[in-house]
Amino acid sequence: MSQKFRNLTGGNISRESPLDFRFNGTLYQGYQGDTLASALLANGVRLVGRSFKYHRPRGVFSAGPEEPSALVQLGSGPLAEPNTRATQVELSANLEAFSQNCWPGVNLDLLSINNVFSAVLPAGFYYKTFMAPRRLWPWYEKMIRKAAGMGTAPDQADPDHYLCSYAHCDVLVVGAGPSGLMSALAAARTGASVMLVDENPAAGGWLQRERLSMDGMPGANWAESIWQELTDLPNVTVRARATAFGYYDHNMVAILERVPGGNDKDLPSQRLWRVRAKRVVLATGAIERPLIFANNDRPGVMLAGAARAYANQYAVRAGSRAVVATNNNSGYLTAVDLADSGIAVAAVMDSRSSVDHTLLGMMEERGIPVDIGHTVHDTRGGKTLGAVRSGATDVIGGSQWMDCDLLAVSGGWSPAVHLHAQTGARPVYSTEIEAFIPGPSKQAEQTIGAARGNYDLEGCLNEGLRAGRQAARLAGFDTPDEDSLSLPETNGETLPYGQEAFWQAPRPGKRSKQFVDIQDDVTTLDIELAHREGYVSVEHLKRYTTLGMGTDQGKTSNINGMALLARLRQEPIPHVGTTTFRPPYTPITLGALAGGETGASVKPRRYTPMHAQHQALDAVFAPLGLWMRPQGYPRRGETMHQCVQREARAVRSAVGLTDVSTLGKISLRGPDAGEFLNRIYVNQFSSLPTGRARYGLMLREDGMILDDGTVTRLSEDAYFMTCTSGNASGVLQHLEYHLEVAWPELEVDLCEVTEQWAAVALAGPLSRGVLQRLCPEGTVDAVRLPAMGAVDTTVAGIPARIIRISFSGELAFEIYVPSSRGGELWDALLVTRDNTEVTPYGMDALEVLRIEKGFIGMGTEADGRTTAEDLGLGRMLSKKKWFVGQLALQRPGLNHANRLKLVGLTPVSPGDELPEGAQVLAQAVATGPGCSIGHVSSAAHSVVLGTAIALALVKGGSLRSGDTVYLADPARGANETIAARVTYPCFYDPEGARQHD
Amino acid sequence: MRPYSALRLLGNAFSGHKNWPRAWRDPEPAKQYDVVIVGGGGHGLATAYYLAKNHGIKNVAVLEKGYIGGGNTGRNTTIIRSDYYQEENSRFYEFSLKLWEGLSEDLNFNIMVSQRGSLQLAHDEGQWSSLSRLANRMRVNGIDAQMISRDELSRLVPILDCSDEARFPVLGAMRQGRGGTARHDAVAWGYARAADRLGVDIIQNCEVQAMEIVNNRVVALNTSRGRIGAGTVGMAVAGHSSHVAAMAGLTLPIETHMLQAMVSEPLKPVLDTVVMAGALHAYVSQTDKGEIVMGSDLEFYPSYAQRGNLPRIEQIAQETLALFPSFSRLRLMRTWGGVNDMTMDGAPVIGHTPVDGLFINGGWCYGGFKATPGSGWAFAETLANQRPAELIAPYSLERFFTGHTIDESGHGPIPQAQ
Amino acid sequence: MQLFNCPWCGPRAHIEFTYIRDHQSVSTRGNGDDPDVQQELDRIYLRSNHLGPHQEIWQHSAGCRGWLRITRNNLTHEVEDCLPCQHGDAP
Repeated sequence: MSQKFRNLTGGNISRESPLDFRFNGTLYQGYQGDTLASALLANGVRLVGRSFKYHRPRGVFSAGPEEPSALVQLGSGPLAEPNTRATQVELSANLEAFSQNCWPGVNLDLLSINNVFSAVLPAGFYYKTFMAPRRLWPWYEKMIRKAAGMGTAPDQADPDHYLCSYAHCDVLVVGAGPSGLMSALAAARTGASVMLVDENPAAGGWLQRERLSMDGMPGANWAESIWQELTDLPNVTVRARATAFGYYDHNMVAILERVPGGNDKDLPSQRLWRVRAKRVVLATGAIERPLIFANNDRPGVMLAGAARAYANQYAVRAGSRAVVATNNNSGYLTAVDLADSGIAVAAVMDSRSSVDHTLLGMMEERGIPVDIGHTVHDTRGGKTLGAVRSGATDVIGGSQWMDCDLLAVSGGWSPAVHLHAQTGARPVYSTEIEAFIPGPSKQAEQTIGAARGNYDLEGCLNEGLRAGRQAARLAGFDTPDEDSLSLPETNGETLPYGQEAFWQAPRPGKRSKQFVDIQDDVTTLDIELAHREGYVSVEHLKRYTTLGMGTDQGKTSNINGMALLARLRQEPIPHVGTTTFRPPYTPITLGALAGGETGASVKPRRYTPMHAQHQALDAVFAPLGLWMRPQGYPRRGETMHQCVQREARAVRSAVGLTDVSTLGKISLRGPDAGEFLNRIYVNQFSSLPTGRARYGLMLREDGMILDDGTVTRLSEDAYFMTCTSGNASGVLQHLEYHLEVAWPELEVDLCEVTEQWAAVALAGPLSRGVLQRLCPEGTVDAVRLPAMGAVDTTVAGIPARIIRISFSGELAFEIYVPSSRGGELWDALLVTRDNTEVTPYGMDALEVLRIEKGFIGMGTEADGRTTAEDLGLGRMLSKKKWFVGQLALQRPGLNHANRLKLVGLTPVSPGDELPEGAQVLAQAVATGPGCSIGHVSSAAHSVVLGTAIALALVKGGSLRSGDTVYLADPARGANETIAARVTYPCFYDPEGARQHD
Repeated sequence: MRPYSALRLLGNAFSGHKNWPRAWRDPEPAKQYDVVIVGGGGHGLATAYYLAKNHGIKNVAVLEKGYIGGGNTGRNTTIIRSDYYQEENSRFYEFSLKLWEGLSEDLNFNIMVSQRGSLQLAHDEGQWSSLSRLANRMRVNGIDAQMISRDELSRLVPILDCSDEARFPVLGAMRQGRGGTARHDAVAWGYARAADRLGVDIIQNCEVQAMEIVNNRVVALNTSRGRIGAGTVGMAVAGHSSHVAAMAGLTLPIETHMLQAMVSEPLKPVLDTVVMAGALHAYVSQTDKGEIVMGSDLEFYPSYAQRGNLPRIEQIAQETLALFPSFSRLRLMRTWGGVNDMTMDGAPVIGHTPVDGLFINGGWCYGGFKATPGSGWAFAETLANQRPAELIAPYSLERFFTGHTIDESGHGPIPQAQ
Repeated sequence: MQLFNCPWCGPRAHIEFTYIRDHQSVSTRGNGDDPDVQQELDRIYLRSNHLGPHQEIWQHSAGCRGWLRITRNNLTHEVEDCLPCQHGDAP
């Protein structure tokens, strides 16, 4: 409890703010400024979790987002976050975290038995077995699935909320290390708008982890002062805890910001930024690679830069007795910092053949022996590190064991080229630093600093200054002559990089596990196996062994893996290439991507202008796309079926009122409007008299029906078109496309007015009577307003357009008023001064009525595969003019007799139902694949016949008139087919006398 | 060639796995082959396998411009099923599904075919009707399918939001029990190994750059690894079909669009079936490794970039969370994109081209992965007999001109709408 | 994400636009034109689909609803220009 491994001074933590937290139920203490990883190490907690496949012990390996091992389940209940990197969790009061992927616990994990059987579990073992007996595979698979996965998904809704923002700037700088800070500052001073983001809570990047001095103060303090200076500039936006995770087309960078104190008040817990920048500067730093040797996965083995970070930034000794193994000069910085923080450094293993004598001097000062040409061969110690064995780089076996509980390894540094590569740019291999550096840019960006392979502080600062100025200039902002921005003075011990490639220590035994990917448990043996079996392309290697496919996406393992593959293939590394870099750079919360568009806000809802009226009548609503439409208005004690029958009957025998506001409505105007309609519709419209409406059919260019609707001529060159609700935007696009792209020479203006008009249909034998009382004298008499006539007038004093169209087959009037007055119209029509009851009816009743009449529905009969001829509307096709779709209709496949064609169906036994979606068969039982001769497209219970009726598409159509067919509905449990008779597809008033009254 | 088995695995464990042979050879291309297949994805490799196995034609080469399975085979969301409505599709995909069922044994390579059911959700009455129609068609054709109620759905998939509060409340679903997933990379490797075992040459890093056509007959291919003579050539290059066909002067009814997909970090089992939601266009499942796989619409603009943009990723996240609100705190680990060869009716193009000896197999739209075994089988028969196999005869290039399009979605000649 | 310079609205994100079709497949046929069925079917169904720049018809559907002819590379997504549709001729 006493933070045994915390130094009393030093670090960038707030010792005045101690924090309690729990790990696996045990209470510990840390400080504000700690990560969970640093706090665990401070308390001497080394064992954090278990690896994916072998369930080997895992601890803290790094100090950043590249962490492959220290994954915890953060929080519990609805706030649980599985697979969370302890190195990225900011310690907060009462934080709770748990080990994952272990049972019953991290100290005793029964699945570590996998480690015992690891010999039969090499890479790809599952491809070679579990194939027989076949019936056991599902059982094997269940076992595999149970053993797989890491954390556990929460099972409750997420209480946090997330928001998105857009931002535009002239220069976006990613990374607030030394080069990024200089870059942002230089750009800002030109007056350009600048955005600077960094994934850490504080600025400085690697300055936070080193003991460098800049302008006479610690590097970390210098960084904070620059950050503050930038924060105060009006043309600069700075964001900490903001990870740039994706680089997309045309210089758009996606950034995820963790908002501190999120979910208090109105703050989201995370904010997704989509930033469009004129120029981007990538200062994303470099990531350290480990060395590869036997049992290099033991907790206590960590990246040298991380051990140094824990000492310098967090004042935490990651062990008490350390060994450092390195192939470059940075390992010596670690040795110095560890020793100065109070850790006994037993030795430095340097795999290179010679070492700079300055470094040797530094080690001698501190009494640290250096073994040149040596490296670590093996470790031992159970669940945490106890000792290492070292030896010459080229001799198997190694010499002596050395006790230690911390092994800091440095295999070199790889520039973080991820964002650059996401743009499609190809990184190039630098033999100078034995790593991939950015190649030619594909977007308006530049990479600087360590991200470019420049590991020298002064060099980074210089680059930053130049890049910031250049980015601003390319964005249109020149550096003012009087800008006196100069570089800070640096006098810390930055050394040349000095790396000499050293990829793999000798293997002590045939079966020794030298790990390359310590999350997915991929060893050098696995890579050799993959190569032996021919999986030699880097992508095959990755997919076969799962190298780099864990949550760290190979940040500390990919390069090592590629180098090993290159050696096996006996080719230089650049020939092997890299795997593809993909967003996100680090894993990002799904909820943050969804932002505010969750729950009810996933998509908008569209309501008609009479929605309140429907609610007041207790309507039951059904969705049609985004629309909410009344399905029916059931009365107390009624089933929906009874309601629908009552409503339909009311329309046939008296009068009903339905809301048809969702119909697409388009206004057309111009001298060529008639010609335009002639080309769009299959039938003639230029000859339509003023004040008349006509039903029309429009086709796709391939001859299939696109939509039906009505067009009313309002004047010489003005028309009013309606089309089906579900198709409105498609029809609009079809019309606009033809006007703007295909026939720009036609003089027609077009405007969608779907939402400008509320619309109802008043239908039934008594409808005229109801309307007459609300309209000016004589306006709606049979003579003045004949069938398919139209008039602009008033209804109940509301300006209205009335068109005598009937979708129900009864005498009917479609009434259009400005949408703001729709409710008023509805109320006026429902309340009559005499005793006429006007029955509101919904979509289901309307369906019954139109099916009785055999009127086709878009999506049901006209399903995108039917022609006019198929649906009995062939006579509508004009022979006098060309129309869209006419030529394609001539294809033989669209004209043969055995196509699916529209018929009606009635049940042979009057009590039977005819289910919508049933398949139509010629025989009472299915006789084999392909035996279906059609399907029921629309079905209803007829109020005029008292039986079920249906419209169906059946091969040959009317050729089967009078035949008996059989309806099969086995998918909904019907064991027997239902016999039905093929009829003419109209069950009521085929001459249309009632609607022409 | 020694087979794979648990016993062999155990035996090799003792020898440190040093004795596993190459899964497939890496031969130099010969000067001439009876059949050359352009495209080393699942379809091309399957074709080569069935040519050798079913027809005894072994003087075959598969030419792959990169590494095998590197195209759409390695980029899909691994779903297999046969819930198609149009008779030609129903017949084809069911044939393919039956091949999936025996594939691991046939290839002696565990493809990890996991038939744990696939669900298509209905969010309104119209969808319920059309899914019922589909399910009935399948049943009448002898294929397993059933409509299940909301309550049953809720029991099957407890984490699915079946409440009334969902933005698009679920009415029920169509379930195909034999639907599920398979390990996509393993399909390429399994077919490659099996074909190689029968004598087929698999030539990687070999890009076809031009075709030699004499008297309207293809006689050779000029590649990055030299000239290769061919008696018959089969193109199986998916999103690059137009590019390769253009080498023979052909224009196809195909437009290439990008499809993105993504995975979460690996989790303990939480979803054991495939869920597809028509209204929301999304599909979600969980791999054997524990990752949640998610996908949705195309990008809706033509692209060969294999890199997508953020809005579609956001949309996939929104749709997934609309179905599974409890996934909100899970993290997205990786996104990627593929090149989908979209045709003008949503069905593939397989069969003759106007050039003698040159056959096409492409235009698989969204259905390519599940079609792999059926496509390979039928294309092999086509190449062997120099005429379209009955199973895929309806998918001829001619159909657009004769009016025999096979339009599963009903959207017509709009490639981005298929 | 892609940025299109709408001639009426200025630079806007691609999600505001709808891709309609390749310009090559546009027909300006009206009445009285020669009824060549084969040519019509070729136009409806065939696409060059080549790698590289294409002229594409897009609509600014969530903006001004203007119609554009965008010259865009389908591999690199580089945009050469965004012109109003009426500016262009038939394909």
